[in-house]
Amino acid sequence: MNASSGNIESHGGHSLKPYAYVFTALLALTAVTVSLSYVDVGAVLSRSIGGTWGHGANITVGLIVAIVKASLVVWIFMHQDHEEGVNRFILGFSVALMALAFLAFSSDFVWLGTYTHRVAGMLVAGN
Amino acid sequence: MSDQQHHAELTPSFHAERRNLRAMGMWLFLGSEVMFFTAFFGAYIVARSAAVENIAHPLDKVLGALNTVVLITSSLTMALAVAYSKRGDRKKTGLALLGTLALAGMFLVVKGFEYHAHFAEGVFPSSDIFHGFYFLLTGFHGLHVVGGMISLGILWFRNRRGDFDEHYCDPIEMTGLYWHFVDLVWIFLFPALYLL
Repeated sequence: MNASSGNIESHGGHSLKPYAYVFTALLALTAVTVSLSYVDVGAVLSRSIGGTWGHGANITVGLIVAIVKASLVVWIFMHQDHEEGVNRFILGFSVALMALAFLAFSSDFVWLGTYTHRVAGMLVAGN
Repeated sequence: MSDQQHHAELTPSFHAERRNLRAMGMWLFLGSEVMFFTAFFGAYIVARSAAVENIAHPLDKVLGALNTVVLITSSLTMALAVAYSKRGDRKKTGLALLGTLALAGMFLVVKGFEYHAHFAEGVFPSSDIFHGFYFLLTGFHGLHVVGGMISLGILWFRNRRGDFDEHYCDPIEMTGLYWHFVDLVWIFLFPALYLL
């Protein structure tokens, strides 16, 4: 992508074009996430390809879009594409630890579903 | 004080090394920030995951989306501030910093209206589990925005005073990394709290 980003405004090492592309992509992806919140993705999947899909389908799609947006910010805005060595290792390690933590958290609702369902009753007052 | 002369006399490899060490410090700090938000976010996911059957969406999606656009735009102006400062364009750097500062302020104003509406409706952190997490997560995120605004204000002043040039603008770049992180947190908070 750097090779094709043109030669205008190359003084200082970076073209500004990628910023414009990323900004546009981030706005578009925000529109996608908001639009999808009005759609029951699970019901659509059940109708089109069969099977039973719950609200988890919406959460999965929303999470994927958020991860794509985050990657764009980290890679282009935060210049992780130019970072190397220990700085890239630190980022990778943080993300890996975060993933490990979320994996550990998930054991709570995978194995203790009954307990958490009682908590769920009080999630939003009057609901 | 001849800051610029002084910086110009140093070798390019010195500038690169100093910049890389500072970046390492900032990435380490951001790593600790990732774990800080992971803790609260994880607790929220555990509480929410069991409530799949009865999700209510008590928050205003439009205001949430508006704030998302505001923060994304502020990330763009921040990236521009870093790029301009690396070119030694002090005037454009100042404008981009001011723009970022203004957008950060706009984010907090919108957030303030939301909080005000909650309180007016008698909704507080203690009202229910969802709002407990909502105020916790957005509150800590809001504090990060305030911290960023303080840094941006100091940078704007230092830029105007002439502290930075194309050889030395590490503080602007490092604050940029921090600011993009604040945007990153919101990229996950917005769908998690407002949409899903």
